[in-house]
Amino acid sequence: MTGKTFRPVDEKELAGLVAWAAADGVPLEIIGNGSKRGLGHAIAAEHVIDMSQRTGIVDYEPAELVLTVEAGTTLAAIETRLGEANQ
Amino acid sequence: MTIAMPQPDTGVLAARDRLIGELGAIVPPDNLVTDEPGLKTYECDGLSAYRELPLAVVLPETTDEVARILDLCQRHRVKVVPRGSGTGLSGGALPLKDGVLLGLGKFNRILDIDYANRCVTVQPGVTNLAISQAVDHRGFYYAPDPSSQLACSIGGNVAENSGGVHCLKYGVTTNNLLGLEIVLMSGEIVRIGGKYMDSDGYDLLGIVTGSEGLLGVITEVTVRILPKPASVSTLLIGFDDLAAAGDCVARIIASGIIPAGLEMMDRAAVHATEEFCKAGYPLDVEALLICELDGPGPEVGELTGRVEKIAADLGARTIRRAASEQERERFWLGRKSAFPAVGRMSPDYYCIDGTIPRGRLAEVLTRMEGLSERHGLGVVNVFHAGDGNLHPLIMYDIDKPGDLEKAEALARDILTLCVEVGGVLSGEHGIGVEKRDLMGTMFSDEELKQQQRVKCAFDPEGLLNPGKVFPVLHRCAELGHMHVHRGQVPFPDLPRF
Repeated sequence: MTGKTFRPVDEKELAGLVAWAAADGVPLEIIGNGSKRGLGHAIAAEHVIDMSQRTGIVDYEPAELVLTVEAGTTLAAIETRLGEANQ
Repeated sequence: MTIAMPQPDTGVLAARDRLIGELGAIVPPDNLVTDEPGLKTYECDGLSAYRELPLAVVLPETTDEVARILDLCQRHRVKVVPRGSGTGLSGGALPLKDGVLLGLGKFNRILDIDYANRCVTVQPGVTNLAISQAVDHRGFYYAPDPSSQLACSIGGNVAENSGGVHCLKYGVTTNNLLGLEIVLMSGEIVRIGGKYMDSDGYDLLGIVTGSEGLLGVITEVTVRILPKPASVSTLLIGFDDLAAAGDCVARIIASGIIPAGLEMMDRAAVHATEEFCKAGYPLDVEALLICELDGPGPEVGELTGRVEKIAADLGARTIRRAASEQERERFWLGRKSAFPAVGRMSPDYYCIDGTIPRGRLAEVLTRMEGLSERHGLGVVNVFHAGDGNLHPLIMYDIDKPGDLEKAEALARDILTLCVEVGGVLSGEHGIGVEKRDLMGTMFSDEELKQQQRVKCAFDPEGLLNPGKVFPVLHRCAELGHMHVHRGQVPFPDLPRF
């Protein structure tokens, strides 16, 4: 892998990255924690967008059965939080 | 008819006899309806305020016939409206004057029951209840249970993504569906998914489920079946005010309990049903909940106790636990008789369908009372409180001039209120023609155009069930490269409803 790994801090930066890549026809690989990255063939992408730093619970309303999280949030963190409300 | 539909194509109307001749070459004479009394049978679905006679009704019996009919109609640029049992409540199967109505009632066979893989494959005209009945002797059932389950077809359930009383715990149609065979407007036969979960690639099954007959004609359905729960416990809980009942619903869910069903009836509904069927409901309450828990015996016993405690803490006036199967059936009898009970109070009623956040139940019901007074029509509320899915029944008299328009205006106000508090236009009945013109309250123009691009990928000519769901009919060619030039919308001649 010769390309760069980008870790966007917010949606604006992410949108800028994707727009730049799309305009230049540069393929991107998008990863979280990469736990299944070893499966299948390697992705022929120039650069990597790493979403694993984008973690956290944005909104959780147990009475509405609705949870909104950042894309890099681990399942373990989600389950811990839901468990507090028996969900 | 108070709702605008696409302008009939005069060329298609003029060539009716030729089309009927060609349809007659595909299906036997008994499966082609062209006489006026016969066509009248199909003039409306469950949303009976809107009616239209179709150009012809064709009742194919095989997938091959469906493919040939669609291919024929596409070549002649004839619109097609698919229809299951016609029990839909949003007008999804409302015929078009210049369209062929494609009835799937003759697709009525159960093709395969596979207990090892817990799934059943059926033709689309099989009724919802017939699937459960076919596997009942082995202790299985099909979970989604729309109240029309005795009559509604599984194909229609998929098209509308139907729900039911028990979808709070078991999900709506899309959560219980594994595979489909559909025929595209081009006549191409496509299979999506199969006897397994999470099929490869994009979620086409998800796109087609709830697409209201706009993407393809469903010719085969594979659904999951579940073992019947080991035990069931049902509670009847009455409150002095709506807010406490709404709180009770929210607290049950927030504490981690997901009842199989959690229904609410307002005072008007309790009184109407009690008079109609004597279910033994308490008459001194403002809101009545029916809470049903199912699962293994010990779990159900524990959870029932916890729900009773939540209700008692909130000052419930009545808490009754069904002591026998007979008593449980009586609890449900009132709920299930609510629609006919309202039907006896009022010459006509209009059942609408919107969904709101559970936390806003009391507020929305109170504001709805105000709207009801302002429009001068009574509203009775019987609904799926557990998932915030409201079914206000507006009482009107179609023979009274202006009453239908009043009912429509009240329905619009109620649905707009649902969207305003963070809810959605539909819970389980679909958009159809009924809520078509309200789509703009929920989606921006660009969002609606994006949805229409999906439609274009399946049906570029826009011949399958046009006039439903989308408030503006864009041509697909125009959506392919949409430009707004200096704030001017192109194609000002497009039909907008």
